[in-house]
Amino acid sequence: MKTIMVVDDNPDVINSVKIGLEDSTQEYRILGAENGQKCLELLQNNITPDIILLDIMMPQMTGWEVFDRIKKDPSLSDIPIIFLTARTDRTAKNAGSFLGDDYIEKPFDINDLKKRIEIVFHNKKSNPILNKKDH
Amino acid sequence: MIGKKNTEQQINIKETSADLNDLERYIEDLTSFIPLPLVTLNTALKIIDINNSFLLTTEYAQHEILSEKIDILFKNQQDLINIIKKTKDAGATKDYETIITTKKKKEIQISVTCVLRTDEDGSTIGYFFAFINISNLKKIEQSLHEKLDTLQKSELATLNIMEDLQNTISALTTAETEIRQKNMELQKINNELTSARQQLTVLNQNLEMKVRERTADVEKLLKQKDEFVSQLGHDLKTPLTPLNILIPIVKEQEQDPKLKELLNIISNNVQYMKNLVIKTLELAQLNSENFKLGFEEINLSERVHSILDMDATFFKGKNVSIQNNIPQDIIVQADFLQIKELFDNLISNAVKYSQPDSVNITIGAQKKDDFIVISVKDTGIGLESNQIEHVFDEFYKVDYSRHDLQSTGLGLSICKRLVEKHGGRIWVESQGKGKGATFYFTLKTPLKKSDQ
Repeated sequence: MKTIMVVDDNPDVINSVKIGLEDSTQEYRILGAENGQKCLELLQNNITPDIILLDIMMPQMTGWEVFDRIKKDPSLSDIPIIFLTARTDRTAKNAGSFLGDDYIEKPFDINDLKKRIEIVFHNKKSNPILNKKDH
Repeated sequence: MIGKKNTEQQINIKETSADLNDLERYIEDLTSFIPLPLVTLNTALKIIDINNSFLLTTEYAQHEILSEKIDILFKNQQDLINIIKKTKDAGATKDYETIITTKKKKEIQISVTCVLRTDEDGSTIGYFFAFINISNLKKIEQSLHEKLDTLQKSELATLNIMEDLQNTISALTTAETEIRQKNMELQKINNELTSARQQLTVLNQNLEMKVRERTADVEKLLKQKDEFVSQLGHDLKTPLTPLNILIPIVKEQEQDPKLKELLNIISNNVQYMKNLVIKTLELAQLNSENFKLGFEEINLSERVHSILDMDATFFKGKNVSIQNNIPQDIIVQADFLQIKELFDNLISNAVKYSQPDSVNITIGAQKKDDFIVISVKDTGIGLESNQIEHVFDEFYKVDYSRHDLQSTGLGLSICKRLVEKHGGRIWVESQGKGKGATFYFTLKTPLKKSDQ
């Protein structure tokens, strides 16, 4: 069973993603984190998700900061990250697709999200070395 | 004694007679010598003596004129009567001017002096006439008169000229005065104008300052508006996310057809709201000055082909035919992502306003000078002329009665902004209701090497 961590300051987004993904044929375990701080705390408590869905615009600590902390920690840097963003501008798109493994714009379709998650998993499995990013 | 006396007397008479003869000859010599015509008349005005000068002047011979009356010489008899009368009264007449006629009918102007002849008792025995030929004098006088006349005339002319000059000078003086006055008025007007101009400059400067301030205000407000719209859009996106995920799940699980129908309505409206938010954000982004295009050289035909491939999945199962007639060699300088957005909007617009069973869209392109005109032609419901001017307005919908949740009313506004960001122009042509519409837009060709 794969563990998916959803980091978003809106609990309804976490819950709906949870419901949506648990509804799928794949078996996913969903972990929610309501802010960046909580996300990092969970990661430090030996919880290692298979993928992190990371919101960018969050109060106190933005998604960029959380991303930076994770990628700087060698024990965590392998975890694939998909950005969830409400931003549509080019900078966000570029940053999302170049820095992270993928990005998806809110409000997204749950099937679109599922597809992207599966692609990331597939890429990682087929070529884990190529997919590893150096930061 | 007596005899002696007689002899003495005889001698005395002889002597006296000889003396008288001498005197007579003397007088004769004297009178013939004087160059004045002289004539002696008796009381009956008959000529009894003349001198040589008289004969020369009157052209008569002595025998022809002696014993004739003086009348034959006078042209004007009244003059003769006057002279005689005046001479009788005063004893003499001096310088009476009249005209005499010579034998050859020549008229001569003369000045007559007449003296009364008396005997020892004082009785009148005749008249002496002296004529002075004044013809030449008269001629000279005439000529002098004429000259004087001419002089007077010329003097008059001079006077006239002088008067004219005087008038002219006076007119000039008046004109000069007027000009000076006009000049002064002009100077005054000029001064007023200068002052007005200065005031205008000040006003202009104030106005420019105000315009600058207002422009800055407006720009600030516009920026705030864009920021607000952008913020609002992003804030709306987050609450839409759970709705977008959960409603399809609930809809799928719901068995009650009536509730399923209600969920359908909710779902459609969420979809609509989602589109509206996305399009509004797109438009706000296009309006913001931070928006920058990523220009590249694009083979239009190839890229449109790939766009149509992607769209094909959308139109699967629908009767949509899209023809790509863009020539292979057309290259444009554009941002591909935005061009894709542009074509997607125009194509979905064409599909939206066509009859569902027959959608025919033709895409073409034509080179014109240094830009390309691209056309997207449909066979849809077409546009009335009053609709044409509004189709690019924000939130404008051609057919409000449709209440469709497919259209946000922003697609063409986005197209307009996109084309303008590319430095092009967009417009639409339609023959009217039911006759389809053709959207045109221009894109630039890449800069030639020589232009760079």
